[in-house]
Amino acid sequence: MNGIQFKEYWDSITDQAFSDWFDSTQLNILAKAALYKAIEYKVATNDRQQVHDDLFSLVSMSDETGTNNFTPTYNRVDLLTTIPNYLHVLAVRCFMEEPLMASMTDITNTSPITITLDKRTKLRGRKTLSATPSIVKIANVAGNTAANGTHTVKQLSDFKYSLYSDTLLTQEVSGNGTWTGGGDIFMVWKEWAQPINSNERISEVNRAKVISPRYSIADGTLVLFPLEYACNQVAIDYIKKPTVLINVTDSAIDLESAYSQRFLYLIADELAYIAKASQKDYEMAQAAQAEIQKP
Amino acid sequence: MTTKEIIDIFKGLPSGGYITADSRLRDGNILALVNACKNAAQKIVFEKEKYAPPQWFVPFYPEYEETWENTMCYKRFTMVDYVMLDGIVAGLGYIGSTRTNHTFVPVTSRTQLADYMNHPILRPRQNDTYVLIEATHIEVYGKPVKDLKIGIIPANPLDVPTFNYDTDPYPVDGGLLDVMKKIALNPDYNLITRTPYDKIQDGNDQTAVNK
Repeated sequence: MNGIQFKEYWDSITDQAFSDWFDSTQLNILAKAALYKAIEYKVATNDRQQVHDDLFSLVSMSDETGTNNFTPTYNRVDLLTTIPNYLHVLAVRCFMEEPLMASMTDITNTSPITITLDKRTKLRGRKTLSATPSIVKIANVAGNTAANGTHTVKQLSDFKYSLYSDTLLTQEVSGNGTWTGGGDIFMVWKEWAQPINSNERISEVNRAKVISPRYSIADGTLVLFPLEYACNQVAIDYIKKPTVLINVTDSAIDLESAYSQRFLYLIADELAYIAKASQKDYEMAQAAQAEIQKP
Repeated sequence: MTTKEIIDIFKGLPSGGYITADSRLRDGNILALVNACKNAAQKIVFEKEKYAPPQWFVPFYPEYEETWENTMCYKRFTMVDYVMLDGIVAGLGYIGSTRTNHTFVPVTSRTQLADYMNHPILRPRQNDTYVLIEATHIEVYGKPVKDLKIGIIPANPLDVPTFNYDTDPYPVDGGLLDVMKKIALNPDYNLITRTPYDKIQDGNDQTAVNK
């Protein structure tokens, strides 16, 4: 379906008199408004696969390779500058750093590097096939600087861990010198955050924890809680602003490359409602409204 | 089964897994519910069977509080909240050394400790260590120790500093899970969701999400 065919469909569901009332420029403006309204409607009712399918080209998904991964400053991501095409948030995954109450007593210059702690911690290796090993962030190590960075661990004993660079524990981290001192160790929690609004923050029940982080959107930024722990990375799944707009005089762009057929019909219905409402024809607008609410 | 998996099971209880957007179904709230159900279920099962399976226990390594050493005649350690299985039996297992299987003698009240300390036969001998367990801390009398291991039935496993939320099994056995589910569905816990009433009889669904 291209723009001209969309206009033809819209003509057929609305009054012919109305369809002549608007010139193509006016109609394009209203079509943009209808497109956004249709997106809002789908986002608000996005509880089934069927509905989610209609947003297929508008969902931007994060992954492990770094797509849609951002670096917050003081647990804040500026949405306006960092993600210019941001429209709605779908899911947020935080990488929170929890300082471990232990210090390192040894870092070996081997492959893989083995670190020794002075206390038992909650760092764990990979116990079963499905379990993921703990992730550590090591910083400020002098001498054996290869130990610095974010690694996964394999537990050798209560106090000893070897460092790997992947979750399957196949790629070892090799040492590059003799440890001369220093080293801070953090445990990194990769957890999906849940939304919290400002009116909910007052309740102790809603307090964010490092294992159950929360996010809130305020001042044009995405804020990640708890604020006392540093979040060094955040992965965001979101709805993009539409890039393919409907031009009712265009025959070159196939709108179905961006939107599903079902979604285009919904946009046409929305457009019919906007067109009739803008002309103060409330009876017709109500008829169009009833059409939109059909599943 | 990890804590995360248990939380997922409890989230699915009221609706068969369909409703997940309800604010009562957030991880923190569900975790509190899971802990409450665990503690209640453990009491019920222990009352019936007079046995606490080893899966219930979590190793807890109390932290030595150095600042108390100079002023007190005992060693002081941190403590987390644990379950009382009935009026007499505390949810405590092995209490002793981390390196060897040297068991310490637990005492649950200061009166009992005073009795032991003044008793001509029971008073601490060369190798005896008395551990007084208070609500917020532990006092160790006798042999100077800086490491201690306790098998504990924690009221909230996440209070135990070495308990890993992601990978450690949540301290329940399979049989207990059924009892926990039954307790969770008790109306007192308010877990079962209910859709709002559609008050206007006009064929339109007023409870649907507004556009």
